[in-house]
Amino acid sequence: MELPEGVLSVRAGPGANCSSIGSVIDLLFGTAIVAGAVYAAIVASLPDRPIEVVGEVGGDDKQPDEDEP
Amino acid sequence: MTPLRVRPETFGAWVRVDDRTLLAVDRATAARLGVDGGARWAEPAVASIADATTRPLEVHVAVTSRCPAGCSGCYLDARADGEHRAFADVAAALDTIAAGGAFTVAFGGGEPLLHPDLPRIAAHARARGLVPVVTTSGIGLSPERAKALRDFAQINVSHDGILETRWPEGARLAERAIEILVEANIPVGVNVVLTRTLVGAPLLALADRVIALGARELQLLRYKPQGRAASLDYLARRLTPAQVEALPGLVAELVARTSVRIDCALVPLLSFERVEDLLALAVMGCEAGRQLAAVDVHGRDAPCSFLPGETSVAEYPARAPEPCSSCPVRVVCRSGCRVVARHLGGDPFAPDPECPRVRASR
Repeated sequence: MELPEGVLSVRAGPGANCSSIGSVIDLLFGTAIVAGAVYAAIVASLPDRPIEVVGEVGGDDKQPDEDEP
Repeated sequence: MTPLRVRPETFGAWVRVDDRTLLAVDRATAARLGVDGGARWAEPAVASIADATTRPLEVHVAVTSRCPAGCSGCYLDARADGEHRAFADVAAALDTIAAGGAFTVAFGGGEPLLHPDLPRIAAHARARGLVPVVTTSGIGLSPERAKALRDFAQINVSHDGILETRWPEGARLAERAIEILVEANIPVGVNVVLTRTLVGAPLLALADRVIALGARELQLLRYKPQGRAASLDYLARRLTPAQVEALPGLVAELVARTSVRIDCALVPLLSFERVEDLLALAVMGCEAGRQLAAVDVHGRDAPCSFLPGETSVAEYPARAPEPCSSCPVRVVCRSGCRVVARHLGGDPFAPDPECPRVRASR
């Protein structure tokens, strides 16, 4: 599996299962080249996006209320 | 523009790009995005992201223990008179989960669609930056109800074919649920528990059937002896050694049909060889208490939904004996399923006895 430079791992899908952690394994079965190109395009677009840092003490874990406009 | 949700790690950072893409990037790439790793980056980088990630990426939250289906294989022993967890309590749990830096929250039960506040719960998860998903049997789903569920990134419907482990109406209701969710433009996956009577041609037929209905993903789950499934019937329902041996080929046939996801407990049964590929695709074995956490319907934390009351399973793989200690995929597999080891050997801290490599060593 060829990943873009700087990418160590790709976890695909939202993981929609409530009982055990799941992993998409399609790319283990032969569609890796197309996916590599897709992920390269995704990585190239990342610097244009703002970031929200989470999981750090004192980090910017903004918690808006879902009822706010 | 939606911000990237970023969690610094010793290797760099986990980056949530969208609902369906989570990337682990190195320090240089994270720094280019504007991430400051602080003290984490002062430490030497750990070679493997699997070893370096010890906080939950995903948390499973039970919102109810109510379900009238009465499936004989229910791992939670859900009942028709089970209780719902109050919205305020679920919301507080989500606040804590979000602050801890998890990315995904998967709601379950019981039957979560029976919880009257489920749409509000999903909205609260979204407001906290979490990606909400849910698993359902389809009980309680209607076209009107489905429209209120659009905050979910994906909904998985449990469908194991027509099996002795499920309730008589299960297959019909599951297929109706898939149709309703597809009509509502909600991404649908199908959860399939692999039992002896299903694995083989019936599984391929089931896959064809749900794909035709519009399901976009199959989630394959190992049958686990917990709750009502922790009985003598487990031995008759689990896969035979011959079925386990044939499983990689069967999975390849499924991948040719649709996207396939495997659960953590299936990793040892698929006899993977190349750990580099597994790490590149973030394939996860037993991450209970590390990259995976769970909260039960009473608000109690657990390492995974199947291990209420267990607290130390996360440390076991580092001290697992042979054949795990020299296994090429140990860092990903993490010695297989603790639930199976506990049920079959009486000890959760033992190699998974159904793993082909473990069987071959005995």
